[in-house]
Amino acid sequence: MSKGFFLPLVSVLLVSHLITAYGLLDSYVQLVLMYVGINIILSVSLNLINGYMGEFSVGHAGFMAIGAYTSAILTVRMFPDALAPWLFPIAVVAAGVVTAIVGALLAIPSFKTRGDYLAIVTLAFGMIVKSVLENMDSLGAARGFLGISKYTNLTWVVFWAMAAVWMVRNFIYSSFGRGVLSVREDEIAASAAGVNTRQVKLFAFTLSSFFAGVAGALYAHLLMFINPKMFDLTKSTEMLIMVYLGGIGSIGGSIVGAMIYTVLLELLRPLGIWRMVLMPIMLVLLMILRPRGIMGLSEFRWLIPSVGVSSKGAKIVQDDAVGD
Amino acid sequence: MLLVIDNLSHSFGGLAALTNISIVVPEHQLLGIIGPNGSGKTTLFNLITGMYRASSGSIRLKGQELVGRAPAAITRMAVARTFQNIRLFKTLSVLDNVRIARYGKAACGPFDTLFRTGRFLKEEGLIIDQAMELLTLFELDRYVEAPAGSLPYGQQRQLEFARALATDPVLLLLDEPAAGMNPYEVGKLNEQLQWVAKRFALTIILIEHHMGLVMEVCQRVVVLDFGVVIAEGTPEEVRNDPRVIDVYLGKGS
Ligand SMILES: Nc1ncnc2c1ncn2[C@@H]1O[C@H](COP(=O)(O)OP(=O)(O)OP(=O)(O)O)[C@@H](O)[C@H]1O
Ligand SMILES: [Mg+2]
Repeated sequence: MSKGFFLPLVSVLLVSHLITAYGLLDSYVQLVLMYVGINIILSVSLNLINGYMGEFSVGHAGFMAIGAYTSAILTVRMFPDALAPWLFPIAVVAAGVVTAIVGALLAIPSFKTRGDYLAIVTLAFGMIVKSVLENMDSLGAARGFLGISKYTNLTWVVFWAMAAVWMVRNFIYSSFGRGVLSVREDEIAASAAGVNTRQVKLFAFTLSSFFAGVAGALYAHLLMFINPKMFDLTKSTEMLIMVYLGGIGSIGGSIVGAMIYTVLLELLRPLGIWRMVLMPIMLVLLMILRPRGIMGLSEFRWLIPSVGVSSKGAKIVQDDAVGD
Repeated sequence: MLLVIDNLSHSFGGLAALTNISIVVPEHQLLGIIGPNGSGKTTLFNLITGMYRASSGSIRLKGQELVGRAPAAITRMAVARTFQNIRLFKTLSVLDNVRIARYGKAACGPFDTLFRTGRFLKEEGLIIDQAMELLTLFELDRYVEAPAGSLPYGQQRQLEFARALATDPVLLLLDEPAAGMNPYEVGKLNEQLQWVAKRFALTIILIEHHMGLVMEVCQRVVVLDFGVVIAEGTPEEVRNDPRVIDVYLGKGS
């Protein structure tokens, strides 16, 4: 692990643990922070597909739903009650893994189709997940899944948000990640350069859906109640807003986008139903004034790994601790 | 023999782009392919690199059949190419353009990548070194961080050349590398082709309209016309072949 990441990671985790354990922050503020964290996981993972890979997925809420329901089934129905609080981390990982498997299946259409057609596939996927859940009586159908315990706390959300940011960033700055970018730029040239285009698409979809599933699991155990309607097209649209608000092809953008969107939504709560009108209007304005989003394809320096080229160009810096 | 093309045919719908082509390329040869526009030269490259699947016939590299394999798999078998209309990853940096071509050589899997292990960092460092070496060789090291699309035309051609070499090819297919170059640049390309071929122990197939370059660089020339091989031999022989003069050289190209 790079030095640049390890220390902040541990200290932030420690602080969030102290906040959780001693209630150092108002519980409403904690709740908003948890929404922010969950939304960061969602927007960073969606940016992998919509920004870095250059596709347009509108089915991310479907992945989130799969993660939410998988984890709820585990903690409520499968785990013994006494152990459930301790096994919660396993439920979150399992939710991610199950979602990742579904995500890998959804990568298959992306081998053959691109652009609008793939967008339709993801749209259909989101609708299928929702209607399957609405018709499964054993999962509460449209009424929803009740009796979920509140296992999600600020520490877990912070941990997973950092894991998502760290891993997606590790992926982007790797051969696989550069492969994803090359597919976005020119798929024919990518394959001629030896990029296994199916492999990179599969990897990107799997990673993206894994974290959407994790976010779903955290969300379920925060709200303590889930129903299919929570994961409809509106939810996917919300994620798209965060990604495009922050800027596509930028992890930093997704973090900023998720923060601003979530906090604004809370601040505008007194407006009631009108905030749902105001938000899209703000997005339209932003797209007109700053079409590439707040970060617009640029990245925070601290997110860029130090194995890279110095600003002078010719010299190579390699600060990361390498074994030899 | 490095490459054996046997009875290769390809048609687009009703249009026969190539008909019963047989070409044999020994190791370390520089083979030129010439022919009028639309004679099927680029199509031949697209068949060798798996961009199109041949309608019939076979292409064997060191005895292994290439027809039916995916482009990336063929690249991993050490066949690289450049494109007639330069195809760079325009918004990506010059360095990334070359690093991407190391994809097939990277050994780190998902685990090493996601957790950025020591093994991964070591490999990343190696990839940068290899890319920088090539960029320095092609005098592109000043531009490492510039988006590839921002380079002047000549440098873009050089970058595409470097990217192709980054895949560690034994067979390199160049589709009209001299297109759009002035006589001075063609002269430089001439020298470059010869030393690159030696240094990287390459076998090169060169599609080129620039006859001077072909005559000087290539040991053997194949002439295509309407998807058929109409002549083959040393540059001397081809130049004096009446059929070639008739269909190609005679037309003032
Ligand atoms: N994808 C395609 N679909 C249909 N026809 C094609 C396709 N690619 C090439 N052709 C046709 O096949 C024939 C051979 O084309 P090709 O590009 O191989 O010619 P070329 O020798 O490379 O010509 P040039 O010197 O102009 O590059 C032409 O008639 C062309 O129109
Ligand atoms: Mg051509």
